[in-house]
Amino acid sequence: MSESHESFREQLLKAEQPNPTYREKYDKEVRQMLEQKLTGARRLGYIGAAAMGVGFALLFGTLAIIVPKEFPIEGRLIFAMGAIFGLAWAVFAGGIVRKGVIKLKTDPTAMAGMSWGLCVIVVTVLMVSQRKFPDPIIGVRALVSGLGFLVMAAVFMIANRIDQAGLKTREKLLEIEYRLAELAEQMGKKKQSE
Amino acid sequence: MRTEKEAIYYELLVLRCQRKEKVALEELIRNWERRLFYYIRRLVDVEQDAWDILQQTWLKVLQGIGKLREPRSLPTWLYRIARNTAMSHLRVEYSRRALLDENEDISSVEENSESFCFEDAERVHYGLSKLSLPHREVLTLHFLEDLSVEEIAEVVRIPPGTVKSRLYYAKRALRTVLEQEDRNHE
Repeated sequence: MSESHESFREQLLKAEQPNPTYREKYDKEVRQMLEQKLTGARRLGYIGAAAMGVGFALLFGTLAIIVPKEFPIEGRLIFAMGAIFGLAWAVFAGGIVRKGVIKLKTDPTAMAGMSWGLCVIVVTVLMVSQRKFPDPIIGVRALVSGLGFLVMAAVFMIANRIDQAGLKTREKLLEIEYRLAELAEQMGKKKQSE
Repeated sequence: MRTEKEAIYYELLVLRCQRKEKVALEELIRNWERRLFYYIRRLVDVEQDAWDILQQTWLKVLQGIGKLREPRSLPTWLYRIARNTAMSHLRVEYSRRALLDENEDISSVEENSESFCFEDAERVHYGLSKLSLPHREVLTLHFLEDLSVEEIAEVVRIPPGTVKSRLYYAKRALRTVLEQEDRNHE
């Protein structure tokens, strides 16, 4: 693409004189489009998620405190972790509601990570408590279904990580390719000028 | 027409958009909105409609960029979405009647068979408004210089040979318009 051609395109684009009022309205709408503003049902969803987080924090926190002395310490620790998770979820969802905007790159990843955390905690609780079930068959059933969920969540999480890692590697390779192309272009120009 | 550096840049930009980088999406819009607006504005008569179409185009781009399998064909993809959006806006019958010119002779036209020198962009900009929609469209894409003849054919959905002939007749028509304009001023 020669520079004279590029400047002709630029001149042509400059010849178009858009109406500033329409342009301003368009700019505003495109900005809103990029920000993924929270509206209506979505906002309600996040409010619900924040409330659920608070509920989890209260439930697990209370359980961690009120369980009898003979309850295993590991179980108490898991309840405490559940409470922390609930609180973190509440703060995260509350933050999104307060800002009114979802960050497309980071927020969904954080949500996926936290859901994975919840899954691990719930399944661990199930596995720890299965021995205490009066009917051992029910205990084994709880253990198996818990493990099933855990495996599914792990597969989903690993697939997502592999995808992201693949994209990141490709991005780095392209950055290198771009720099090489830039260098080749500069060398070509230098040769021409000599 | 497109350098290797540009092709890699497009691929990188698409990849960053697919990773939902807000900065990349903003960069994409910033880099392309003037060109796409110019093209859309040549397809529709009312400016406000052109802005609405451009906004709808971005909406479709944001929804579809995650599925774009050939990032290097980004320019073709963008112009095609812009065109499809503009065409949906126009009445189907109108667009068909205006864009399907069956009587073009595509057999004997070489790409550079008539050499014109369009140097004054403002005059060309004025002249484009006087051409028929099919001529205006291919000539605009040609002057914006993002696409090869084959890619223009892909955007407009006509064979490359027809693009060549349409470009030939469009340039001739533009020259006539500009010469007429000169005579009127003398």
